[in-house]
This record gives sequence, C-alpha cells and structure tokens, in this order.
Amino acid sequence: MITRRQFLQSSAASLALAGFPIHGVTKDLPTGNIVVIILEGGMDGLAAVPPLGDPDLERARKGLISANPITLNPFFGLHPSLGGFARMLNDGEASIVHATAFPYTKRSHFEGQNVIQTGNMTPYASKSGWLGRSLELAGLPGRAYSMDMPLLIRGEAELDNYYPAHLRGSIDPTNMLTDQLSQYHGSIIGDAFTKVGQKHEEKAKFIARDPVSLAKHAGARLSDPLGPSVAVIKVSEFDTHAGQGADTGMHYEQLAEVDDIMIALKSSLGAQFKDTVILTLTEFGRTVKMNGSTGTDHGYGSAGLLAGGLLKGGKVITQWPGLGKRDRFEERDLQSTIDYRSVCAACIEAAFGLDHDLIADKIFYTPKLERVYDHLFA
Amino acid sequence: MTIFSPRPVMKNAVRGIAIIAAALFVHTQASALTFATTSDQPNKSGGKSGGKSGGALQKSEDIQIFDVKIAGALLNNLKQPPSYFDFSKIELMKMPAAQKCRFEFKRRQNKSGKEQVLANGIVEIHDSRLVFKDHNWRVRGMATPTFLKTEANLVVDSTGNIVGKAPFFLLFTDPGEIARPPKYVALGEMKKETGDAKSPIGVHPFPVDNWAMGLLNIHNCTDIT
Repeated sequence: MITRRQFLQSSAASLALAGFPIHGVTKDLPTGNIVVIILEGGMDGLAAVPPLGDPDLERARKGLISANPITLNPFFGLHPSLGGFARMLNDGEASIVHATAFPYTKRSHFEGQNVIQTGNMTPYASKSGWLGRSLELAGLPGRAYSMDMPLLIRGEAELDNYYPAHLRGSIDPTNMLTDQLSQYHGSIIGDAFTKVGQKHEEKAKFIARDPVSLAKHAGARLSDPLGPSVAVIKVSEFDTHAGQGADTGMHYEQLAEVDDIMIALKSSLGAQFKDTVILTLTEFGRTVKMNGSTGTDHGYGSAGLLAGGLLKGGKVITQWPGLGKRDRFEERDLQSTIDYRSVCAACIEAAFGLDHDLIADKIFYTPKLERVYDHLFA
Repeated sequence: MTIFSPRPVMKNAVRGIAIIAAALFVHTQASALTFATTSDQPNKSGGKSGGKSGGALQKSEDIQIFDVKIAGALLNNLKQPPSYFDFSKIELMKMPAAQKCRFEFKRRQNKSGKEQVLANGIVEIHDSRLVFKDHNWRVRGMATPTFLKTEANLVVDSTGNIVGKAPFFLLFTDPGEIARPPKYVALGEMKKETGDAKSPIGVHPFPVDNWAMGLLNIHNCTDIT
C-alpha cells in the first residue's frame, strides 16, 4: 500500500529545465547554471536557521526550535535535518541570507507565489518570470523541458516547452503526416508541424517524480554542455499551520527533503557544481510566535538557502532586525531587511554575467535595486 | 474609595528592568559577535526597494556577515551523500599501472539463481579507485551513465575485493511505469566469488534486496599505457 508520504513525494514535486542553447542562434553562451528550489507554502526561516543568540527566540517559539541545532556560529544555528547543507556551508559552498523576502506583505499564497516568480511587486501584473526574462537577456532563449511551463521561466517571447510522454498503449503516430502538412502549409503553420515531428522523434525519457530524483535528473542535464542552464524544482507542503514540530513532524521532513535535494544536485552536477548557484525561493516566512495549533501562520521575512561553487560561501548574511515584538513586521512577523530580489539579481549576475543595472531595470523593474553581489560572490 | 495597589507599579518597574537588561544583553551579544561579522557601506537604497510594498523593508543600515564554523565533532556526525564510504580502515591494492577493464552489473535472484545483466561497459582503475567510463544500463527508467560516473565511490582493497558504495538499479522499468531512483549498495561485506587476491578481476557479490543480490563482474583488464 502506498503511504501518505510516498504519495506526496510522487505527486507534490515537479521539475522544469530551461535555457537549452539553440545552435546558430546563441553565441558566447554564459557558462553558469541557476537552480531554483521553490518551497511552496511559505518556509519558516526561523525554524530552518534559528537565531540562537537572539534572546527573544526561546520566549516566542518554545516548541518550534530544535533541541539539537547545528551551531553555525555564536548567533545562528541550523535545523539538524539540514546536515548536508551544513557541510556545504562549512566547506564554503553554501550561504544563507536571513531576514529576507520579496517585498510582498499581503500574506496570500496565490499572490505571493505570483510575485516571487514574476519579480513584479504587483501580483498578476506580469505574464513572464524573472528567470525567463534573464534567460532572454543572456541569449539563452531555448525551450523548457517541462509538462507545464512554470511562470518563473516564461519569457517575454513565448518559450517552447516539451515533455516527452511514453505511455503504455499509446498510439505511435507516423511522422509522414506531419512532414506532409509542414510542406503543404506556409511558414508559420509549416514550422509548427515540423516542430511536432521533431518532438515525436525525440527519445522518451523516464524520470522518477520524487524531488530527490528530479534533482538528480536536473543535475545530470545541467552538467551536459548542450543541456539547459536553468532548473526549477518545486516542493510543496511548507504551509505548516498545525503540528509544525521541531525535531520531528512535518517541517522536519520537509527540510530533510530540501537537504537531500541539495546533496543530490551537488553529486549529479559533478564538475558543473563549480559553475552553478542553487537558491531557494518561498513566498513568505511565518509568524514569529507559535499559534494555537502548534504551528505558525503566514508571515513575512524568511531565510534563503544558497549553494553552489559560484558562491563565496560559508556565511550567514543578514541585517538582523530582532525578534522583539516591536522589531517584528506588524508586531507579528520576522522583518525583512534584505530584498530577496537583490539576491536573485546577484545570482543572475554571477551565472549569466549580466550587468546589475540591466537586471534591476529589465528583469525586476526596479532600477535602484540594491546590489548584494559582493556579499555572496566576490 | 481608592485603594492603592503596588502591583501595577512594580510590574512596570520589573518590565522596565527586564527591557534594559535585554537591551544590554543584545548589545553584549552584538559586540561579542563582531569578531565574526563584517559590515559594509549602508544600504544604497536605504533598505527600501521600489514597488508597491517596498515600505515594509526597514532597519537596514548595514549588512552583517556571520562566518560559519562548525565544530569538528559535530561536523563528523552531519549527513553524508548517499555514496559516502569511510575508507580509513581499508588498505588499498598497490597497482603499478592504471587499468582499463570491462564490467557488468548483474542481479541474481535468490530462489532461482537466475542472473540478468543490468549494466555493462568500461571501468578504469586509477590508484585503486574505480572510474566508470562508457557504459549502458539496460533497465531503462531513470538509469543513465551519469549515476555511476558521478556517484560511484569504489576502490580495490589489498585482497582484490571491491569496497565502497555505488548507485545501483535493481529493477527494470517498463514504458508507462514510474521510474524508481537507485539504491545505494555497499560492496565489500561479501568476498569475491571468483578471481584471486592479486587483481580486481572476478565476480564481486553484494547484498541488495531480500529477493535478489547484486554482482559486479570485472574482467578483460589491460594496462593503460
């Protein structure tokens, strides 16, 4: 019998790959890769990276803080289920940005997920994603390998997507028909039929659907010189309103999954790990105080976990706002003091070599967006 | 009638002392942490970004860097990659030259003894470490050469046995089936079935599941000149 956990593992994760080079179209390709792990539901940054040195932590969150955190330095700890990530931190291959968020404060999952993917501070105002726009600017307009097209990697011009299906009993159509149709019709329709034919000829690939296997597949594809430059892995179930737990429970398991994804990406990327930056993205953090259901509610500031050889890692980067009631955003949430768009912009700059001002203006529509590149990569 | 109650006054006084103490503590903490932090120029945008909700960003004077240094004992107990293996007690085989060999990964069903080839190809041995080169998995699913090339962590020990951990696909995946990730199998617990102690050549068995065991067959080795 399939367990709840197995069911969630097989159904609650997805992978999209994008930025495949097109021969004859792209030249002087950037060598870096970006992997985004979207943590849907709002990850509790205070549980993942507890500020153990903050005197208000214990007072506000007793029951949500692990009894055995990994001590990173005198002020910050790390949740024990992030052991692999801790090792990367210690080896200078990872960093944490804390008290950070996209400047979106309405606490809606739908709007928040839209904002973190479009990079536009007005929900639903943009039809493209910040990563898709950055691929276009970097000259990597290739298609996405995904069943759906995540908003994050959609560009201003439409990206072509493809997901090879090979189901038992499915009809095997011949390419003759598409060949004839493409010859018969004019350029636009003809091109479309040619594309259908090409897609059919491609060999079907089988991928396990749990997040760790998806991460391994992503790493393997990214390590191919003719493969994609971008991978997006979605993991859900971070909306821990009840029974969040500390050393056991839902959040513990979710963080362990993130850790396994990081380890899987590192191993499957192989030598390409040095040219890669991996970053987490979540729509908001969670309330500082525990609620009546031993969980936390939608908040504001959270923590971003970054890994990869492009980083000059081994540090926690923050402008710590404090956890006292008056320090909190609207007296309830961890304040965000670093705009996470700046972190994303720095990742684009490092991986694709684009100028910060161009990224700020054309990708995040905020010409005065702060540049934090030096803190992460220099 | 007014009754004087000292409790609110005392409560406020105690609260005031607590806040001062907390503030001093925080300050002490911050000062104590300066050894590990570096600050740079104040935020150019004043910590406030443009956009509809930009005003929510506050208190952003300096970015602080807290360096990470995990204590040695704690570091040793952190989670390792699935193919991690502690070779500290393994004596490696002294091999005068690198070798190029052919290999097969097989499964042998416990009940019937039936053997099936799961993967085959080329493996090179450099300084006693196995480096998987061109090979092919026959099990379909998500099995690709990348797994062995990037994750296999195997060596030849001084008795000619293969020791370490490696990803291993035990099951065939038919079209339409959900592919399964590999198992990470440990080699070295069982001694090799064929071959002598002077070389890695031979059949190396290893446990995989309760219904089948795995075999790594290494043969046709030649020196790489």
